[in-house]
Amino acid sequence: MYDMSIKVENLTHTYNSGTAFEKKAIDDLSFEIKDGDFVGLIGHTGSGKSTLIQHFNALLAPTSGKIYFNGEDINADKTKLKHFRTKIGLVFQYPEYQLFETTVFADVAFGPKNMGLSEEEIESRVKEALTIVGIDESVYESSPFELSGGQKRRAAIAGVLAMKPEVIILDEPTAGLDPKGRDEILNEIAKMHKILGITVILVSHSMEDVAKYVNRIIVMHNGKIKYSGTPEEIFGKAEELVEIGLDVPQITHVFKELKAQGIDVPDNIFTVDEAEKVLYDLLKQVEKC
Amino acid sequence: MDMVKSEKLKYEYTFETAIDEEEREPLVALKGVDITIEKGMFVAILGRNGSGKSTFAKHLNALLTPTEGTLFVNGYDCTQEELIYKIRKSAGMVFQNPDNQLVSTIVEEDIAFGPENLCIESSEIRKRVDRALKTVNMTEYARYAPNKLSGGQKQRIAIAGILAMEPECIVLDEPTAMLDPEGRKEVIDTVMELNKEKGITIILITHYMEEAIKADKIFVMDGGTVIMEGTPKEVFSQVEKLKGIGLDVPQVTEVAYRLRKRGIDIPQDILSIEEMVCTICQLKSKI
Repeated sequence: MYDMSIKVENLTHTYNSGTAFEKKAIDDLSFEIKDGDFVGLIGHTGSGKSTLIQHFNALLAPTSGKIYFNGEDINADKTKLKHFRTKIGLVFQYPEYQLFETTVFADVAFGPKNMGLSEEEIESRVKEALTIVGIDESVYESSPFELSGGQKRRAAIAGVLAMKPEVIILDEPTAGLDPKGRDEILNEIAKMHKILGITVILVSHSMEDVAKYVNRIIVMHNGKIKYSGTPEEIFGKAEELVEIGLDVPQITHVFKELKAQGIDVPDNIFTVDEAEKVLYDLLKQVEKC
Repeated sequence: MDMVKSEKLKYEYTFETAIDEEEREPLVALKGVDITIEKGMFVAILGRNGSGKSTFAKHLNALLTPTEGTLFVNGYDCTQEELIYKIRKSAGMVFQNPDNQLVSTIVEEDIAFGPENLCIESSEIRKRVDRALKTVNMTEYARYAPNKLSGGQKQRIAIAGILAMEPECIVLDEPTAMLDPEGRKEVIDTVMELNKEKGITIILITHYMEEAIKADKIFVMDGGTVIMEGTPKEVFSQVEKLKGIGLDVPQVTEVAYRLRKRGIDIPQDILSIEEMVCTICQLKSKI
């Protein structure tokens, strides 16, 4: 058994190699993503995140370096690319633009159908995937275009889930959604991580979302991995993150500032739940006085 | 004078091409919206997806015209078709996706597109383009190709393109939804500067509550009507009501709300990091 899911070794990708527009988008990356991890991938626009995730799905081939999935080089044998693409599912930004079928059910069935599965298997996978993302059976036969924005996006995610990937990569799954739609999608993702034991890579510009859900963060900057670690470790580096165009959750700034003012609080608080707990303990004495 | 004044504004989307009789039922997106925005204000409009925010915004630029009710933009009656160019000159629009708004292969040509269409003399266009670039801090990128810019830079170019038409009001429909934290800050800082220094009326539609706290006034829409209006403090102190309609409050407001519920005497209307820090320090000093 391999305990790692994805292993990247000296991965470099250069666009327009050999022309005047040559640009090294990712530069000599090496890291591992463990089976069952919930990883947040953050970095400013142009830091190389999208280039990197397209390699996981073999949409881009490395200029040099290798990507291993459960110990196998995914680019070694071109005839096996299709296999790896079902194992590592990629949900693009604004995935609802990729819906195309006449019914929600048919749209989600498209992936498994192309895998050559039996009718029964397809049906059970579609139902399972739609149930996980919280889409009710009553809309299975509706046009996907009649769904609300958040539902459309969930249907599109179900299309990838129905292929039963071991890893799912989501590129900004909450962009443009209202707060409730955002929380719903992220809760569904957390649920599939928990129930299916699937490895999740979440690309996001929202530090609050990343802080709330992931157990590991990879920070990219100029095609390199700048930092990698737990949310506690990463969000402890507020100044460094701001310097490279990122940020920490709003609440983390409060604790940094309190500490600077000489109040004894931890400076690596990054969720509302933790903040409530720490501040309650700090302030409850005030009530007693 | 008011920049925007709507009374009982109603709008129905019709599906005339639908074959099925039933599907021709109109969709009522706005069910009587009353919004008044004074000149020079910075206003944020919040609401869940489908609440009617964008439909309202499109009226301000005469991309849609009211089905019923009245709307005046800069004093021009939006139901009068012949006023359409005066309305568009008064209120410019910036949309969510920067890539859908840039039309030219060179930044300065892109900014010149608007004034060119207003048939402005070329020497004047030159001046306006330079001024607009300077305002959004993008002068050094005048000769760049827009596709080489970051998301935040592209949105600033889109804003410059609007500025070159010298509008009195800019409507921004989720301009930061696709941007990274720095890009978001660049765009919001630019917008605030236009408001404070040039007196341009700003109408910002956003899902980021942290952006809305900077506004002079917030309108909250739901189900095609305005259900709350007031200063950021007035609106965000109603945590439960906002959550009930699928919205959120800034993290610090949420924490203060939860502490208050647990019996800590902390004000309900904390919106910013500074206020939160200051309040905690004061409470702590009482111990």
